[in-house]
Amino acid sequence: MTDINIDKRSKISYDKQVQQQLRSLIARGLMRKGTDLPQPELLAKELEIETSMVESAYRLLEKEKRVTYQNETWKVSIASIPKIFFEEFISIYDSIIKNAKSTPSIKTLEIDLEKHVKGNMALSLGQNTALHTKRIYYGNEVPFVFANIYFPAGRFPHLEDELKKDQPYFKNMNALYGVKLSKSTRTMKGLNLRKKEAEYLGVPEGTAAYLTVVKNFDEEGRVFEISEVYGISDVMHFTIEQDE
Amino acid sequence: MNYVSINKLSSKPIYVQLADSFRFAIKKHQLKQNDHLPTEEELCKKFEISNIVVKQAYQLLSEEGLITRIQGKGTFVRSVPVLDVDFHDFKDIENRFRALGTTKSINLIDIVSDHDLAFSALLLEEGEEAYRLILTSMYFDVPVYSVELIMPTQSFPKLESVFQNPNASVVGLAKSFYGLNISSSTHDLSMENLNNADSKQLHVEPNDAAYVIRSVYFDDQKKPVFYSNTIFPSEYLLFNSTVVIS
Repeated sequence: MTDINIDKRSKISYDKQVQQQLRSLIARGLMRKGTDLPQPELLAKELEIETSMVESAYRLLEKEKRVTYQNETWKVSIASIPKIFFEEFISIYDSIIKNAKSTPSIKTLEIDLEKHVKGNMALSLGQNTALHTKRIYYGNEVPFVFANIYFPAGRFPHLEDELKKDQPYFKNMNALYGVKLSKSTRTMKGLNLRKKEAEYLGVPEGTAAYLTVVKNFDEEGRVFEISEVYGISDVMHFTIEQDE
Repeated sequence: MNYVSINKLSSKPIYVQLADSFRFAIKKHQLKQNDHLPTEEELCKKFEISNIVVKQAYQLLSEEGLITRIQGKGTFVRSVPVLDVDFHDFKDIENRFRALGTTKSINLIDIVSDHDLAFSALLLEEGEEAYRLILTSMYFDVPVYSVELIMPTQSFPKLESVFQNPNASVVGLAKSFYGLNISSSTHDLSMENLNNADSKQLHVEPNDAAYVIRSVYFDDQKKPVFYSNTIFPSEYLLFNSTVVIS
């Protein structure tokens, strides 16, 4: 039923062992958000430990906000896009599949062919107008991230038709426009979500969130795409291990 | 305003030149925290440039976190610069703040017998005891982050007399005073809304977004030794990373 093993010779108590292994399964995306945890009695029986030990493990995970108890069932409440999003080039769509092990879908909210942009956006794109679109990326129909995406206006004719398909467009950029990605930079900061972005992500206004600005460069070193990606901690959770 | 230099013959856009001048003056401390920057009118008049150019320059600097614009009051050099840290260098954050000139002070030392996440991470049972220390790091008179340390009394006896210098490394203290070799650590980063107590301590609004880094430090046997919970209000810190496609 599970990948949990109890080491009865270990000094670590049984509830901590269960807690740690479940935490790891959740963090690695092997137990998805919304997944039911086994009933404590059943898991206890399988592991040959007291039911109270499993219940205690679940309560510890509840304190960590990794699981919730609803309608007499324990459920995983975290699905995450871990740090791989920062370390490798991986699109949000692929990250939802690979890291969060969820079924992705996309909703394109609006497309503006000539949006006026200023500041760093204009400087990076090298012009004051951009093709702009707003998209929500879902994993198992739960909103994962909301993104404002900008391309230099006029550079990619008919890209709007691609965007309207509610599909990932990135892999087609080379085939359609001969654009090859050479470098991607990400800058992440924290903020309180404004009303609109909070609505898109289905959370209360003011919820703390990450805003990651992704800039993609072509082989000539020009920026051909900038995305402002909003995500809350529940789906963007980062763990780093290091040697001292 | 003699720190501003503009060359109208240069191919570099004027707003970029203007932003460069201010950035340089801030770096060289010709402009200090909370200093008032010239108004748009003053700059337009002196350099015979349009106010759009000045607006663009100030917008760039404001996006970079160097200045802040307050409606009706003017434009100021920010009291705390925004720290830009490589995403992989969690460990570097405190050193980077220190390089800016922040100093830590001890707000509290007490002993606790429960602490949700720390006790579970340190494999302590409820009822066992640990020191809890709360430190605040200040940039002049602005608190920029706080650190809560949970250090089991069994491993760190008499910590209250040993822990004299809040600016020294805790890993170093563990080794030199207690012979504990910290060989690895895990750091869990999340973005959270601040509770009332933390926001008060950090002089920001309740519910403001903050980075929370929960760290566990392990010895060479992979046994957890101590725990820290560091809270950085989001306004002072951003992370960056670059992925080069080969």
